[in-house]
Amino acid sequence: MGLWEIMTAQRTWWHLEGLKKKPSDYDISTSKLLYYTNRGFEVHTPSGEWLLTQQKNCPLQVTDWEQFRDPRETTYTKYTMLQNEKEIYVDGLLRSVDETGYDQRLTPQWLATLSGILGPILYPTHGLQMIAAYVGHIAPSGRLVVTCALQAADEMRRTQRFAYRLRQIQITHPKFAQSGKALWQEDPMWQPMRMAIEKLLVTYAWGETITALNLVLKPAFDALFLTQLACLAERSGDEILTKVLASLEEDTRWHREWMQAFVTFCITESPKNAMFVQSWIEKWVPICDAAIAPFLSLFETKGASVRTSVRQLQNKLWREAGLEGISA
Amino acid sequence: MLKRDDWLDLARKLDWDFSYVEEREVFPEEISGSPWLTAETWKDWDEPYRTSYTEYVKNQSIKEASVHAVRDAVGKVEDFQKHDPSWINGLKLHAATLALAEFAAVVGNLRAARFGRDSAWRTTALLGALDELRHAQIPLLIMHELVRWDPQFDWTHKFFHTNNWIAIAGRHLVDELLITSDPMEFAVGTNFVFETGFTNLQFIGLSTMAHAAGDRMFEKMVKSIQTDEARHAQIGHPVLQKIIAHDPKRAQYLVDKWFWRNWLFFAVITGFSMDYLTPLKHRTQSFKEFMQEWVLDQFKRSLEEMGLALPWYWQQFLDAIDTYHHMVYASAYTYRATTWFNFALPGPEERTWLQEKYAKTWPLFDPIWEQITNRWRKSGPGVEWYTHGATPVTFCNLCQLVLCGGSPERNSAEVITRGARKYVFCSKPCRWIFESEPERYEHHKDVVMRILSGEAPGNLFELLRYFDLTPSIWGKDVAGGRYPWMQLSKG
Repeated sequence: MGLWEIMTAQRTWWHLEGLKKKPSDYDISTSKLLYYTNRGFEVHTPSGEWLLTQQKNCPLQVTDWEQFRDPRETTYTKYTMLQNEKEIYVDGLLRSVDETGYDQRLTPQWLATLSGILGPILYPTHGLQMIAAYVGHIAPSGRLVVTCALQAADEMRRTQRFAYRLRQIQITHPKFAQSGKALWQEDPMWQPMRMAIEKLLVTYAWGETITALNLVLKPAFDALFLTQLACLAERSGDEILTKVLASLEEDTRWHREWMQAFVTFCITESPKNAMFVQSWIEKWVPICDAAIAPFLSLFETKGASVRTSVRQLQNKLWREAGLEGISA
Repeated sequence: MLKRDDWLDLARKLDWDFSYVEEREVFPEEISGSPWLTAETWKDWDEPYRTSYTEYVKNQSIKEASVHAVRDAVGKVEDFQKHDPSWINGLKLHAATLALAEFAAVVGNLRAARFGRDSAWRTTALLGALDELRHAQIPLLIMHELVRWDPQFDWTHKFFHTNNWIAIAGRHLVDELLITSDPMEFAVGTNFVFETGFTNLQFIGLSTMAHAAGDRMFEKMVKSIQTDEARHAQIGHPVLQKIIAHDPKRAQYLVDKWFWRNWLFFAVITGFSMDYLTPLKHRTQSFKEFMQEWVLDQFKRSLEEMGLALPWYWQQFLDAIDTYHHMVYASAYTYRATTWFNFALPGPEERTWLQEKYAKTWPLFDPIWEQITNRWRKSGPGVEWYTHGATPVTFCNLCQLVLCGGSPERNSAEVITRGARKYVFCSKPCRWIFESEPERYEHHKDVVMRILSGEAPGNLFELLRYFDLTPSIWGKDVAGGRYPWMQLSKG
């Protein structure tokens, strides 16, 4: 029998044959990647029991988690290409700092402000990385695993870019941001944020974890330490940081986009899911508000309330996902 | 630009002392691993690669472009059709056991990216998770193209979703090793034993053969994957060192357990390919020679360096290198319809080669192939069932593979009774692993138990359906018994 003789009508994977279009690379390489979700595990280990229990006990339930899609349809290839482009751009910005004696021109007042942010902020961004990785490992669909893993990687990018910039400034200003860990652990300004991150680290019911992370805390954290900080940097004559932050902000825009798609999917599947998500939002909003409160005055300008703009951003995200907003 | 070492540690060493929650809440022992050690114990953890995010996306995007360029050049159906059918069937075996297992490793790595006890470990594990995503997606994208040519390639994706006996065995391993082990066990079982201990067999051994066979796509794929593995495998060593320092018995146990479990996996996957499915003219070394050159010496050396003993079953393992994969291959050949790929029948030249490479043990196997060959001669080509078994076989209650321990003369199966149930094992090490942690394994239903409980049918034909096989998929002789040598040497 020649090999061509066994040619069949089958054109794609077994589970994509009903697809009415030619499967994309995203369809081919991200669908049904978790084989255990309906059958469980062949062995019983403590970590395996933990995973199954968290999946089973999650109030968010849909008929088929496989139907969730990342709106950007991010595959590994697409991700590395996209992020490499961004990193080349940021490298160019940072290189220009070395070439132009840029850091000598930063004002003492701006350096003092930035010092109190760039040192400690590496710890909460690492925390955000850990929390995204947690949801990724527990997620009941392969596509959710992938989005969470890539979001965690974006947080690594942010942490490393902050660390790089910090060290770069230290070359010109050796005393800059020397006590990041101490500020993170002791400065009253950072303590409500630290409490929020630590509490979220031990929030193991993954539906609540991802809601608190991507619908409440991160939109506020990112608005403050990317968008608002970028404006402050611009006002303080640090246009390089403004541009670096804008590139990092692009990553977080995707985090909000896929999260919105995820929530919309959950609510469309079952309106009950909206109730759960809403209750988690209500639980975490006060914690988040307290976490960002100490920083608001830092970013305030006349006639513009940062608190209001953060809440507007959150409300927009919630409403577009099909949830209710909360007054500022 | 700053040198990496001037700034990277600022972003890698980010553990802090918790005030609002307990350390044990953030890192519960059940999910972060044993022995549970304080953060203080872990703070000097390091690995040598120290890759930054920027370097990662730069290097990986280049590697991706390079793999896709080869895929565009030689990854079409027509390109694969040029290869020897035996080689193609080795590919089917590999592809099926690769893609979704790699994705399982994404989950394991993400757990380590959260529950690994040091921030540098967590960061490297996160890059590991991304690597494994790559290793799942590359074969899925490449092999998808081939489904329209040969539906057996559908099992690249389908395999782990089925009740096929090899899939049950595969899941039994992958579930424990990659998806549900805590980060410490994962670091020993996956990073140290599997990735640094065994994968050279694939990356060096099999890619050499792919090169010889002219399969540039497969060669490119495994070589590209290897450069990722080499990086994230480095997690294993420093984690194992901590376990050795605080609980040497557990360290030895984890190494012994995972060396044996991984060995059985590679014996089947790589052993089949190297000694049976790679066309003779493309074979550069035997499976045994590759094991000796790329696994044994290096593994023994790293155990010595770490102050660990060789696994207690070492002599038995050395004996198994000469026999085990030959036992399983002969058994699987005669039950080939229970698999999703086709098997090559070793002809006179292959058997002479095997005799040369396995001088001591091949005389035990040669008569089996002589008998199978004679049956093919008697039936004529195309009559698969004349050289096929018909009664269901027995599986090991640990590894879930057929009872193929020992040699054709002396099977090494062991039986124990626990409560009302009898358990059978292919070997002493499988029995030892089971009895060391029975709570992990005792509830598992093997194929025989599924048949006895009515969950699976007892009749072989119906059982094939339970295994998710149809006539167009199930395994056959790769030439349907039409071997030129069979005619030439007739009579």
